[in-house]
Amino acid sequence: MKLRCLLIDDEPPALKVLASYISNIDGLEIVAKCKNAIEALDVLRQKTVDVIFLDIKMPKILGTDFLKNLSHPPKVIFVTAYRDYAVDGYELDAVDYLVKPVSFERFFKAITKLNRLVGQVAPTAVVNSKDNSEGFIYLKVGRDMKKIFLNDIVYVEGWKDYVKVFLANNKVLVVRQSISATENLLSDHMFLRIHRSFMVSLDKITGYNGVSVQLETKEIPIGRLYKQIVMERLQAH
Amino acid sequence: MKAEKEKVTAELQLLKAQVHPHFLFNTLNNIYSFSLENSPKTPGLILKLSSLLSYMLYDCRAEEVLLEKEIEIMKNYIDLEKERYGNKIEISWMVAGDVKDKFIVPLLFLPFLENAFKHGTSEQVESPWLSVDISINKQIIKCKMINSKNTYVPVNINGIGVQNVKRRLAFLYPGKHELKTNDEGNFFVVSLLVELNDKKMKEHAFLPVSSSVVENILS
Repeated sequence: MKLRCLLIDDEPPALKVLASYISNIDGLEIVAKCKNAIEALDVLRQKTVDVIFLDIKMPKILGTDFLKNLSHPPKVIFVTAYRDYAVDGYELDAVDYLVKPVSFERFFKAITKLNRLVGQVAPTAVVNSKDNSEGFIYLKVGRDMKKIFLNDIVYVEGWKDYVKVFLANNKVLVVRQSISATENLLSDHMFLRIHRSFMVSLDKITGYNGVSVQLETKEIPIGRLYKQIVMERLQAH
Repeated sequence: MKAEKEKVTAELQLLKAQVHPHFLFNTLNNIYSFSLENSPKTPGLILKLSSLLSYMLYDCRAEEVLLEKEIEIMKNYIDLEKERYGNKIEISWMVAGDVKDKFIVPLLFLPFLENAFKHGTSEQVESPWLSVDISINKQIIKCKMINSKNTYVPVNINGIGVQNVKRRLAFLYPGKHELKTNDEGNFFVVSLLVELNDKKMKEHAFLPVSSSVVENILS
């Protein structure tokens, strides 16, 4: 069965936003939209309401006062531009306290909470894709700027004024910049300088000992000056 | 001694306050331009701005904020800036380590991020890109921001925003931070390391109930 919603807000645009959010969620239906507490009392006398979306700052009667005077209040979700009433909201046993402007995601979270409280199954969600994009850099290869995903880099070998970047697909890029500049460019938590001339991707390491690090296709020496740092990082990894 | 402390506090408040207007008006201007075209992007942008505003006006009154929240705001800011430059700029965003239950002085990274966008995009750059790489290891947070740039244009990083952050770092994390900047020709790197204070959130004298607190209360 659908949850019957009553919306109370003195500002029509606010009602409109709530109504449009509700229409996008299965399991909710709107009983009435009211501009003030008096109208809402009328509705409550005549119809069954499961949840009230309640503004607080309204002319004549505050939303909180309205709620305090109901003998059998339904569930309540406050929707207000004022964060200062949150403690009142808590005392009044509100399901949630939404601060305007409310995003759909935040609204949905409140509905999920509401459903949990009234024992309804979670509504069908609009799934948000995660935006944890893959890390990348751009390198100047010849005259072109090439986009390289960090996961594709196995190790970097420094020469005098250029570096060779060895990729997982066995390709090698020659980039005209120093290994220190390259070190600056690469993510510290993914890459480790292990030698004056070498940086390796921590994830690509298949083994190590006191003097070298093994990668699938290559063994790379650990520089004397880097040994302590390298051992600490590898043991922690 | 007390007078001295008050003076520092007042200056810190002022430095923090200077960060705000700039960001807000830039963003408002972007939204304005989208609204002129009746772009469907406008509502999303307004919500992002709203969360940025709420952060600056309410959360940032506290001496320290949740690190998680600061990072979320950076992401928000990036999304807003991305819209501003169309999708011309590519963003690499990485957060590694445990962000939970850590507190940091607010708005330390944002000015650098703003710089990165300014230099990485407004001048002639072939494939503009920007990378934010945050790694957290116990109380140490390292934030590395890289932006593409025109090889022949030097970067000026002594703008008011950055100077301001330097002052705040000196006051708030004395001997506990490291700021490095490197101009490597076709890219520019800012690396800021901060050792967070190992204590729970300080007294929230200025803080009214913030939305995050509210969520804790109600959940």
